[in-house]
Amino acid sequence: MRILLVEDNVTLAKGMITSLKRLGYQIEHCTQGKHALQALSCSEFSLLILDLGLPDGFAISVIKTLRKAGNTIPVLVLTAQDALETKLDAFNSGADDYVVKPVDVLELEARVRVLSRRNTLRRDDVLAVAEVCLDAANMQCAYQGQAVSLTRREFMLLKDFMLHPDRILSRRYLDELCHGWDGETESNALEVHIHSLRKKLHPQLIKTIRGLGYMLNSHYAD
Amino acid sequence: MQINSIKVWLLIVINLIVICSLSFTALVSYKDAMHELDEIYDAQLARNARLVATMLTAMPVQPDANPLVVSVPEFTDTGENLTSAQERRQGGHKYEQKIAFQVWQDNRLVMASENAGQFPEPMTEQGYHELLEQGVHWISFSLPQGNGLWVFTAQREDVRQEMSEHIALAQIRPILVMMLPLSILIYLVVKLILRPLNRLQHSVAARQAEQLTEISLKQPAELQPIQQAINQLIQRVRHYIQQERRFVADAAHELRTPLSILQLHAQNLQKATSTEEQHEAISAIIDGSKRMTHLVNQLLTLSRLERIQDIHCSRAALVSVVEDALSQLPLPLLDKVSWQLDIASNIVISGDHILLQSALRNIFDNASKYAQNNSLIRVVATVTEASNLTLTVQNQSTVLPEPQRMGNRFFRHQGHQHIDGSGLGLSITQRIIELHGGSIQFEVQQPDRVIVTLALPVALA
Repeated sequence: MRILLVEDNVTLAKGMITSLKRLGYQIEHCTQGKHALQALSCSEFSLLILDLGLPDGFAISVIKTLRKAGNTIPVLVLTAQDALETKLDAFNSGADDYVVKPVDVLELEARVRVLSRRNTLRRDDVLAVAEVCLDAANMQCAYQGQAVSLTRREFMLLKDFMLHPDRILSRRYLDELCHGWDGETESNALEVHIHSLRKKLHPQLIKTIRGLGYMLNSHYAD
Repeated sequence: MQINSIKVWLLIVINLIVICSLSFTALVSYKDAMHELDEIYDAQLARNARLVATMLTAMPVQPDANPLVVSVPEFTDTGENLTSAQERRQGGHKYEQKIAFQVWQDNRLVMASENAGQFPEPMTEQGYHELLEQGVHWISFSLPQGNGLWVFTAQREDVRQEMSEHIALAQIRPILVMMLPLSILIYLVVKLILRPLNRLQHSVAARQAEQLTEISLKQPAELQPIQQAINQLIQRVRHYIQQERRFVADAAHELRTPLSILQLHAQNLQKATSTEEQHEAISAIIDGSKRMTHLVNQLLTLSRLERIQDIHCSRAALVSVVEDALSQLPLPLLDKVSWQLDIASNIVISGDHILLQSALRNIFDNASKYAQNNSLIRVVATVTEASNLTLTVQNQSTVLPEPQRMGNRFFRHQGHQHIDGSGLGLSITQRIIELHGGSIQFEVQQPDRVIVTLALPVALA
């Protein structure tokens, strides 16, 4: 799952990136509202964590701009401001959650999971496609009832495939998901992870769609 | 019903005025009518006496004959229910009983109406008299004719009494009949006139504490100033609430951000798997605690300054105070911009130098921190005629300044969040300048030039 974090305090942002990456998320960071809008328009994210007081203005306008453009990305507002008016303003503008700083990173991660669950109309954090079962809350994976151990990147990839079963995910998207904007650009890193996933689970689970990307095939057993 | 109410008072007063004026008019017209009535009756009495006297002069009475009695027909008094036409009988009128006369010749009764026997002796004094005979009041008139002839006419007073009652009733009846509809009319008119006041009252009373929008009712001229005053009050309250909210939001931001940094990085440190991660977390924690320490120090300074009322004043050259303040700036800030000082060396300032230095250092620190790289900061001192010092510090800001919020506690420009600061420096400066009996002003000239003007009393050397 790829998250865009908009936070103008760099020290704070660094800490959040470290903790959330450890919990199995890919985080991109920017410090200004306009950069966030640019990033959202050119790459795909599953969630936006937004600080309100940004150098280029109050970030409620960012949410409004997004919603006006028809973008339904879940928005979690993370701010030091706890005035009721601000909260209401944020929710009324289209925010999905509002968290007041300082926040425990475990709570933040739980809220991120809730938002993702709500966005994909699930009632729990367990993703299941055919015989593959992924518990997003506990970062555990099982195949045919047997626990399978995955690396952090494999887990991240599999989670995104399972959030979008039978949908083609582009190479670029998956590359960014694995390594971020400024990550390594070795062309075969993604193939290595996918090969490893096929080996650990089922060879037909992830299909290569030539020229486009990869797709999780929920009917691989047929 | 409230007694202390414009409506109730208006109703009471208007009703009283109407009742009083109606009653007064009734009384005056009653008196007038009674007076006219008396005049007519009195004139009639006199005229009757004169008529009888004239006729007797032409036709002298027999001196020793028995007195001539004029009979008065008896009609039963059937009260006042009959109409005048019914009362006018062929034979006369029942009221004939109430009119009497006597004629005296040389102290001997020669002629009298049948009902005049009750007067044992007529009044021998010429003119009008009031008599009480057998419990009945009479008004009489005596007329002497010179040759020993006296004519005496009388009329029962109750005729007039009856008349006066009729007239009085005639006056009171319309008042009684009119009072109720008049009161209703007055009530309706008062209600109609007071309707705008009622609307205003409801509009103010129905407001929730948080609902701070202006009242925009169409009001008569008298209520417009009140509505304006209420609206101005609402605006002021709204302004103060906004200021308060901003302060709370700013304070929350400044206090919570370092706390968030500490908490987050401490958690990261707990779970760090590499030394690199550990180092990153530790340096962030140190940064956060430094920021927190700075904030706490600034808060304590401000609170100490709030308690101080008096300062220890001594005299020193302004230029040396300014230079000392500049020398306390960190080198990177000093070198970031070029400084132009325009301060006459003979200006001597009286005050607490340590406080003034820190006030100026805060201004210089802000001026340089938020200025464009390699721009110019001008510090100009001028002494006005009233022996006041004006010190202006002008820089070229990197963002669009918000002068009206500068100096507010915890206020930090949105565009400056990435630069370290607590948002309390200028508040501290403001307090120090106030302690010295001066004032501080923030202005913007051209879009990006911020001018801070200090006004201080000065001692010229």
